[in-house]
Amino acid sequence: MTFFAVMRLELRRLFVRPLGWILAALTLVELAWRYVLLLGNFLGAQIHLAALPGGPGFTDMVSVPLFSSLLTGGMLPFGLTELALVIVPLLTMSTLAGERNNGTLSLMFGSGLSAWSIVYGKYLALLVWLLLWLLLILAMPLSLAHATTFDWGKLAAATLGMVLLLAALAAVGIACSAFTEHPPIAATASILLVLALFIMQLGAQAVGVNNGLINWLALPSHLEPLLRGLVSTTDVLWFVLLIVLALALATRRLTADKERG
Amino acid sequence: MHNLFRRLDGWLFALLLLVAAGALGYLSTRYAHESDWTAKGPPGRGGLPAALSARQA
Repeated sequence: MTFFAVMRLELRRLFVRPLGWILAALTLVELAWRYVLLLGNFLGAQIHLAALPGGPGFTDMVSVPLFSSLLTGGMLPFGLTELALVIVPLLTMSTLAGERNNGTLSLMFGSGLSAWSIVYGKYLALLVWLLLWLLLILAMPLSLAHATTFDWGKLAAATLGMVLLLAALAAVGIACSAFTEHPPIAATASILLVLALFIMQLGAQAVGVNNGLINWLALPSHLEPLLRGLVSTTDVLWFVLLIVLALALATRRLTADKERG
Repeated sequence: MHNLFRRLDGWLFALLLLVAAGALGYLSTRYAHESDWTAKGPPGRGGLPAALSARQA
């Protein structure tokens, strides 16, 4: 059994189990609702927007706000970012915790698989599923590409932000799953962890603290510039560091499990 | 005793990883490179593309 075999097995599991399909269907319905509301707002404001030279266009008012409530506030249904904070931990919760709980993890070790091939195989399978999900969501604004003028650069930056976010959430979810035997505990830990990263800046600002370290640690301070079309090495590296850190910890934990037998 | 060393080894690994990530993160804030991918450039540049604003400046 190799790394690709683990990836193929995990992908098959994701596509055969109903959980993935149900989550994808529910989120797509919710995001379609958000998309229709954003489109309605855009069409309603079009006369005023036409009078503004360099005013916001379809990408600024519909395509990118579909990704996150960070840009629209709480008046509309959740964006992709807010949904991903819950959906990704639910998908990752049983990747390693479930294997350990069923006793199949020792079987995988017994078949000669290394810890890293298990972790990275499962991680890449999840990433494939999440990228397909993102592609389906992107299809909504892209369906109007022939009828409107797109800001392709801004959409590309926002899509890069979403890819990095989904990759980081999947890595954190797998790390939480590696440290426990029970999938619900893994999901809860993962949700709490990413929620802490998401709201720590707001919490600090609420009590009047404006700390550089807290701002750097907070997820929105790295996601928001990408959604606005500003790509910075600091923001990209933050996501890459989180992914590497989470996957390294998961691999280390599994290696320790293998050594212990 | 063997278990204690194994546990200590795990904690040290996590600590070193965190320190390395923190150092890289700090360096990334010191030597950052930003690129504006929007067609119009950020607000306050008079709606001109970022590259054009830079050329005119």
